[in-house]
Amino acid sequence: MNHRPSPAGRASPEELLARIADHDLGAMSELYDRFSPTLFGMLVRVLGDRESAEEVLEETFVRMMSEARRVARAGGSAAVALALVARSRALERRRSIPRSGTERRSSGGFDRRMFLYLPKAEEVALLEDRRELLKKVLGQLPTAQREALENFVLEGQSETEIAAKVNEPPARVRAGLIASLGFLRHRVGAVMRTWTAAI
Amino acid sequence: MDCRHLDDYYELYVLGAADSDVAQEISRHLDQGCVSCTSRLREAALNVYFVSTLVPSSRPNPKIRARLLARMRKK
Repeated sequence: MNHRPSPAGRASPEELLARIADHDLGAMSELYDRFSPTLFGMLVRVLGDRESAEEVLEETFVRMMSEARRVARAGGSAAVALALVARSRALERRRSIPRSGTERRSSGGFDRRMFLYLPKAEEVALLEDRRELLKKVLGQLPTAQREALENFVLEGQSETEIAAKVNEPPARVRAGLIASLGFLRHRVGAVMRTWTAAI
Repeated sequence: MDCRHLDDYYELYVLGAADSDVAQEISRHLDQGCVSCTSRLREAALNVYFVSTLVPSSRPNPKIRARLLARMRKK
């Protein structure tokens, strides 16, 4: 989500969230207008249909209404909070549909602990400044690995589902995903710590 | 708290995809205020956010906005 430092006079997403905690309708309208396109795009990808995605989009903002004060107090990024809540709710919905294959996933729902580890707004702003570079970096992964990672993160597919798609054992897919996540972690960390974005 | 054995699992935890025993351990560290785990999870959340938002944007039906604001008015 393109969260840039707020131009003068424009409230930051975190300021909007604090106002939503006080039932400010204008703040909710603004937050929704700013983030709904990206969140909706993400939800359509996870859920595969617009109608379900619209329902979860609404549920996400309703959830944020309830959690606004908690998130504001934690001082974390509203953009990341929205993305994590949306994704969590979408996966809950997907998992409520009976699927084949064994899963060993841990969580099935919304966990308020996510608000304990929200990155700060400044970190997200820095990431957004370097997003194009980070996309190029992600492109350095071999195609099959990048696609598996994207399916895992963007569609919430399990390693069993990915394994069936690529005709590999689930354990190998899992090892590949862990390696890709490690690659991502290392590269994002390196880019974020670089002293200038002009690289 | 020694958390090095959890290094590979923070993104999986944020994604809700960690094995139950690993997830429980990370949750326990988080609940106990483990500085290392909180910091690593913060980075992991940023990484997950980055990949999650690589998708093209799309405009939802305007009725969703109207319904949301109507719900907020009722509260």
